[in-house]
Amino acid sequence: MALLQIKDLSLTIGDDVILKGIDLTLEPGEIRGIVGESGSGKSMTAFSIMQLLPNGSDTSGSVMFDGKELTQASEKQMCGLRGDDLAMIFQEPMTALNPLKTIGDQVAEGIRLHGNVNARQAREQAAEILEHVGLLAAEFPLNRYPDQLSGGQRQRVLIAIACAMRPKLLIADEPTTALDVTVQAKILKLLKSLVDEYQMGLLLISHDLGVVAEVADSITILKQGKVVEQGPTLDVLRQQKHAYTRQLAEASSHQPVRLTKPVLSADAGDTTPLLEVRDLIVTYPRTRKHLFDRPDPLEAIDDLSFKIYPGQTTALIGESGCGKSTLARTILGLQQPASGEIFFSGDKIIPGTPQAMQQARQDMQIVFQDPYGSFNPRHKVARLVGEPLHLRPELGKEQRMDMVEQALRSVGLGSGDLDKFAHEFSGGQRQRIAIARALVTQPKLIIADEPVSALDVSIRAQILDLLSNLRDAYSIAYLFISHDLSVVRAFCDEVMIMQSGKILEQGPVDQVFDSPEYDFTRELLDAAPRLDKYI
Amino acid sequence: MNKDIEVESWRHILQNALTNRSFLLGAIISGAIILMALLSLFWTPYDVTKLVIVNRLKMPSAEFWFGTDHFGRDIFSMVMVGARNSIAVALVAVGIGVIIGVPLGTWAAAKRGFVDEALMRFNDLVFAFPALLSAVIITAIFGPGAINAIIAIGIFNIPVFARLSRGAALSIWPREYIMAARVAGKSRTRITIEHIIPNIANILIVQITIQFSLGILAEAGLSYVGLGTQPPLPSWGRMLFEAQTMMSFAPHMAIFPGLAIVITVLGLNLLGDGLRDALDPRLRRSR
Repeated sequence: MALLQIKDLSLTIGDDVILKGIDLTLEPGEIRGIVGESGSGKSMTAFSIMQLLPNGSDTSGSVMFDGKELTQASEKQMCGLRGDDLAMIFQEPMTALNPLKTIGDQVAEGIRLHGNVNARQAREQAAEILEHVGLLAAEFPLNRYPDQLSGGQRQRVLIAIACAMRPKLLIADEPTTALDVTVQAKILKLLKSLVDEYQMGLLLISHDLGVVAEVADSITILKQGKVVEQGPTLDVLRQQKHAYTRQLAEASSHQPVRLTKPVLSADAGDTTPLLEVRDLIVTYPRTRKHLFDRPDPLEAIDDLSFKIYPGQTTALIGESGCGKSTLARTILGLQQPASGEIFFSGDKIIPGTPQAMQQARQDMQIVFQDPYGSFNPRHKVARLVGEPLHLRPELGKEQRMDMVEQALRSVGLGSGDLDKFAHEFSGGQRQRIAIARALVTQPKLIIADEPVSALDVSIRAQILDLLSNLRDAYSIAYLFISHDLSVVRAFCDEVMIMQSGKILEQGPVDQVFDSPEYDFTRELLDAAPRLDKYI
Repeated sequence: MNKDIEVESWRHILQNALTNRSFLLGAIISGAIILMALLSLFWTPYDVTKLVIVNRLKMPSAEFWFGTDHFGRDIFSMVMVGARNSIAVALVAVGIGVIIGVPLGTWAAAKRGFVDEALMRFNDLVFAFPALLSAVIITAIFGPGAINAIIAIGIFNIPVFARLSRGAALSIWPREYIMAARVAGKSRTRITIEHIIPNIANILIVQITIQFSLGILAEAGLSYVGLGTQPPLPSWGRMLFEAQTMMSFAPHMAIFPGLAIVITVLGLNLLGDGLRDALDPRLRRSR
């Protein structure tokens, strides 16, 4: 008998229909990937199994788990199951742990609750399981607090908590989305080995087809609360019987067309670089340990130099905390460097006069990762997009409006959108508005800080096409900060690999990706899940 | 989506507020008191400055709704005029707090570093004194009177608003739309005016209603010890003081101004609570 059998599961919350007749089975020892875009009902399927639905939800259909009907189970019965036979891990390892309790206590808590053991035994078991998920006791004693661990290590603690009672079913909701690629690869490997060892079923919820292709035995593709297609992973991905599956796969490996020739530094000759960074050092003060302590500053950027030529798309790749965003902030003049120089179109802007910086700002804009947080919620689109025009006080009101409308048109929005608030748009549309805001001063350089990583794959493809078209039309140079290597390969001319504040290697994308010089680069490239390997 | 919480429009907030029971009740009470105060500018049942000794110490009746005091003045009329004084003092005092405190707090948040430290330590210093006691000192030095009471209460509103707006502003500064504005070359002052203040306004409004009720209490306290509003203008605090010696045979002299203070403060607090619930969707949903 199947470990988990969901039949005709439907869910409404208030007036919204979330799930429409989901059918799904999972055998012990099986990894099933659940893939879909935001709003497809992936997480709600998981919450229906756990019976952790928000107030006002109404389910119908059946969820059979290990011979028990969960839709009929009382809260008390569910409490007995959750954390014992049924376990779950979440996307955000930073917030899923209690910061005030040691990791040992947090793992032991669940063991005491379900394991019928005393405190000492629970701690011994906790130590065992933590060692098992790769946190060796010598390095990570039980009395560590979550803030002393990295994101990947915290995710291991969460896996330890979830697996401490050897659950029969583990639900992992985007377990690696918040992690770096190399860490992601390790966590996926750990999950796979735990599934083999404990013969538990794993529901792996993800938006990333590459991740699912890498580890899942079978796959369920959801769209708007319905199962579009399901079956063995490789069959589904290779045959792509359903149009939506094809669409997802294509969007995941989408390559925007570049009409103009890639700009390579080697061909630049004596063209003046658009942006030149020389010997840049940026430091942050460390916290004082005592009143008269004078700690050495932390070097976030350590002696870094590079050039970007007009019209060139340069990628900046590195793991979290390597100084990517600090570099972006420094170039934009939002962060004072400790030393070094930055030139824009041959003019020295840092260190430089405020006038020079103000002048350069017209030609230099930024697009952020999060399409939700990058707008003042109380301003309308016309004002949001027009904000950088502050830099050109000589323009009249009508000229400003024209430029705002033109920028909106070039990102595929209309003048009918001028009078709306940002929250009236979807994530993809908001990112278009953010790009329009960056375009409105007709800049020569756009710093794009992970511009597509918060977007669904199909929208990601559209935004990449948009950025690519704009590059062709206005010969804009991009500094494209990303951790997604497939996007970088498809979109960029040159690439810089950054590690702890230094640039490790740089060069044309093909050269660096095909024959990397450093082990770190190779590791990074190997760790990235690649869908094309499986199709 | 919790990300959509913060983008509620003012109209939406008003709709939430209007379905909130404590907001409605608070609004009705506060509205009635303000109307009464405004009305007293044009009309009161009797002249509060005229002493008619024959009518002294009358119990509440159809002729004198709240009775009369030991000089034969109508207590209802005095409560009406007292409301005007209390509200005026509290309003101006809160105004001083907002007009000086909010710029100081947002300035500290924008500048950080030395300015921030200096301002906040000074705030701590002011906070360290019990507000009412210091108000007594100030009025004792500069002489009693409504203006000095306003200044004294106002000074102690400054750090309240400075601290609150600094904290709220600090949570707005790291947001990406602020980064975008800085990339657009806007100055800190301009960003504060355009982006920070509109986004912390909701928190400030709640604090204003609370400080307003505290201001009314403080004014009553100062007048009670004779340092607030001076005779012949009536004030709730001084009415209580005058009633004290006659409590045994004329309790109405204390009851009505006392009730007026309680109801006003209650109304304003309900209003503030209701507003806070309407402005903070997390609280609303958990109820």
